Amino acid sequence: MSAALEFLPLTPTVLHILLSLADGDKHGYAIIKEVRRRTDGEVELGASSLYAVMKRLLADRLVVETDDRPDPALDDERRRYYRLTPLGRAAMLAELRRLESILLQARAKRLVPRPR
Amino acid sequence: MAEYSGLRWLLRLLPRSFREDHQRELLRIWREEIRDAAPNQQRAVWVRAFVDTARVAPREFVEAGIRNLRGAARGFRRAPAFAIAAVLTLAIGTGATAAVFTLINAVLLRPLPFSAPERVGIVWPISPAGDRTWLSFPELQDLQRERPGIASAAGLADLRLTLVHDGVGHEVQALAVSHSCFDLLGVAPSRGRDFAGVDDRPGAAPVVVLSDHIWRTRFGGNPALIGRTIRLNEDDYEVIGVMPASFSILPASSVMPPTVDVWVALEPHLPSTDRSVRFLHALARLQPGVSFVQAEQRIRAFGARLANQYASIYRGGRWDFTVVPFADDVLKGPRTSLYLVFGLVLMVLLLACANVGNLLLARGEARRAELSVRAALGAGPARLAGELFAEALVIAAAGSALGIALAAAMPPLLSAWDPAALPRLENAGVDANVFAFTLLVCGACTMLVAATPMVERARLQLAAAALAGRSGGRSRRSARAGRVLIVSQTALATAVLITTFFLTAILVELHRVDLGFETDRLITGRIAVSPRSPTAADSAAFFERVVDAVERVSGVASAAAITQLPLSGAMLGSSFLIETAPDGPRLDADLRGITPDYFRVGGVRLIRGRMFDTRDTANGRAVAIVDEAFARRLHPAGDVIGRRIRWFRSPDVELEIVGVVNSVRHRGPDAPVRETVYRPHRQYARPSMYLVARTTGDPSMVATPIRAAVAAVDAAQPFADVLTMDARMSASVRRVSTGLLLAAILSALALLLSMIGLYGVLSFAVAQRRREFGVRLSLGATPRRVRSMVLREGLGLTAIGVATGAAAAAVTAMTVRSAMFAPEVVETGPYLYGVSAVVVASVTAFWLPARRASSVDPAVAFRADPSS
Repeated sequence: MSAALEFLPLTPTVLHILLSLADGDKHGYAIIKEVRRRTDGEVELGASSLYAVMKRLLADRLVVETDDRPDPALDDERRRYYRLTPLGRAAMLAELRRLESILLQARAKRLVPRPR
Repeated sequence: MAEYSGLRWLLRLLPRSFREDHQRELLRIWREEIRDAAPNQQRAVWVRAFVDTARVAPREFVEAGIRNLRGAARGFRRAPAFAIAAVLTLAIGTGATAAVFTLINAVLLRPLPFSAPERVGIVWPISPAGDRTWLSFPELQDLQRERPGIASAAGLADLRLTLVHDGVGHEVQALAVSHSCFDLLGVAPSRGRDFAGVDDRPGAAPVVVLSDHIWRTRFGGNPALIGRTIRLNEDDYEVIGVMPASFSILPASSVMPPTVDVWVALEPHLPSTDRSVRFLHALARLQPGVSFVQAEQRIRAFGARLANQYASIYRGGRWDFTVVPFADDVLKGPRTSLYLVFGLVLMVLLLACANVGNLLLARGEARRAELSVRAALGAGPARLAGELFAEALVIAAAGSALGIALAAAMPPLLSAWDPAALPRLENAGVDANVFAFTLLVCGACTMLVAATPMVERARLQLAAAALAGRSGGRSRRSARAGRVLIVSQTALATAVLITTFFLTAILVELHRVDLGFETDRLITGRIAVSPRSPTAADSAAFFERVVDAVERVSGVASAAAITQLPLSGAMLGSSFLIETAPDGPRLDADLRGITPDYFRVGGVRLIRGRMFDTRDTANGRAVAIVDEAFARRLHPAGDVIGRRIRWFRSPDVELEIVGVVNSVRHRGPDAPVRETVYRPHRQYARPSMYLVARTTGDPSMVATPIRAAVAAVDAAQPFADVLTMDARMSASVRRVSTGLLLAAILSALALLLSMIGLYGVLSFAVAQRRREFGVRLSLGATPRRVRSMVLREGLGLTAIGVATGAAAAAVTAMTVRSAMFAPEVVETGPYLYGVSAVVVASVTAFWLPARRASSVDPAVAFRADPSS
């Protein structure tokens, strides 16, 4: 856990990527499309940015390349797939908790309305 | 689709290592995004991809660079010897280049310390013999009045005065100048005032402008000195101004003495206003819009008019006038030597770069095993190549930085060896020009060493080979690179060496030129008689007393005196009438007064007639001794004893020639002989003479006792410019000897570098071909045969290099010969020595690798990876 805390705060791009991988292995384009869909087009992840960040995530072992293919039908052998590591998951969760804590404080100050 | 075509180009924005890892993915994603977008959105997708990539690229480059540098540093820690060797090699090359440029910058490129120096020239009359000579005062006046092509002209005359300060006499170097001189140059005293017209009249109250140097050293920089008087030549001169420090040091030339201590007005110090007494230099500033070519034409016409108008003065042939740029006059000598040395040093730099490039390539090959392992662990060829590039970059940067440090050290070292080695040396230092040039050189070296396409490709090839786990033999490309390196190294080394030997031969020849007198064990110095000496007889007697006193000094074999010493610098021309007719032809000749023993002391040979002796007193018959050159002008066989000549200044006095001596090269081994006439000092007394003393032992040991003997005769008269004749001789060939010293150092470096390089290249090549040698040996070739095969191949390439280098040296030799005086040197010597040195060096360098080739164990060669 403390190892995960070293990576905080995560940049928005990193967080989006980790979120994308949270529900299963994906290749690069799939991550880009998922982020776009999830944020309604607000966050457009460029391919170069994606791989630049991915390089660092791989080096930090928050993410690994994987040879497993989730679904042969969706599979393209020539693509590279990425998987969230336990450390990556821990870091993502720690970041989300941090953001949540800030949001709660903002709500306490009535800066942000409570969800109905 | 047009958008697809730009995608590959987009990739180039990213570092190679990044591309290596992600190229396929990136292209795929971009294509899919374009394909999935609406037709009118596709261009926008491309633009987004471009912006995204452009944003990411800088950081990726920096990260890749840092990664490579770290890898390079790791590599150096593992192989410190290689790193040190490479850095030092490059440092030598860049350092030498930057150092020579520092000299060129200080001596040739920095502007002279007055305004618009490129518009200032020197006007020279040219005698019928083709020599440049001085102007007379009337000629200067004509020039100033008519101003042909020039805006103004000013006269300069070299003077030595005695400054009496605190009771002691010191000789100071003075220049008597027209009052418009400083104005012409665009300078002004930093304190006090300039000369005015009233100061520059005969009989005007004596005034003096001091140089900054003498004002500080002799007078403590006292500002209250302005308006006070100082004692020069036993007269009180009012100090009217002090020149700025920057102006005090004008470069020495045929016009300027090396340092000027004081300036005085010209007209009060004229020795003569006769048109044929020549003692002045003339500076001229060109009219605006007039070029030197145009000015020269007009001055030439001016000269023709003068020659017409005063035909009786300008006799003996055609007289001419010319004007040359002042800077050329000052810098002509050092210019050739410096550019020659610069050419040599560039060759050494190329050698150094070739060596280092080769070292890096060889090291890359040597690391093949390590690189293979890393390739197996996932590093792509671009990444590996990037690391090798970073190594090269670090070496280039470190070598260049060290080079700048060496460059800064060079001028002080040269000054320490010989302060007069080059004019304006005191200016030399690392300034903006030098820094910019050094950066340029460093950049070029880095490109050469680290980034030339040949090197680049070799690197990538190597990396790819490592990736494929290939452990093959030599690639054709690397073999060609090796051959090119051998040829270029030997060519460069040969050219540098031959040029150095050529310069050596010139220097030796210059020293061998027969000056006409014997220079060894001769000490000389200048003495002036008190200006208050009433008569010529007193003056002559004074010098006789001095000579007697000096002859009594222990260690002195004999002594004499002469008005102007050979190799001492400025000298006065004169005019001689021949025979008895007052309108008869005139010869220009140097006139010297001597004490009777001078020829014996100086080792000048009597050819006919007699020497001067006690008969030749002031009241005795007027006599003269002439040299061979003069004698032959009068008579083809030089038989002129008894002929009469007249000196223009006293045309009523006939001088009878009583002797002929051999000609003396007064101006040094590289100047033509000038006709000379000698008169006994009692009949031709001058205010100053040079003492000449032949010693039994080392002449420099008797300088102090001689000085004491002179002071015992008259302490108030300074004994100045004390030098052995050998020292004067060295000074006269200094131009060549400085160039030679630099060239010799460069040659040694070049030879060393090329030997290292040749050894490296062949070692590398042999290592690459181990398998081949193993095969040969196992098939029955003797070690001796393998050895001689390797040597033959190497030497064959050396031969090509040597031939190329010799051709380059021949071109250099022609340039040197035409630009500086070069006596007839036997040409084959330098080529022979140079080529031999390179061949011996090559054989030495090739020997070990050849032996290694012949001692390959065939079994080991077949088994092992030959890249170790």
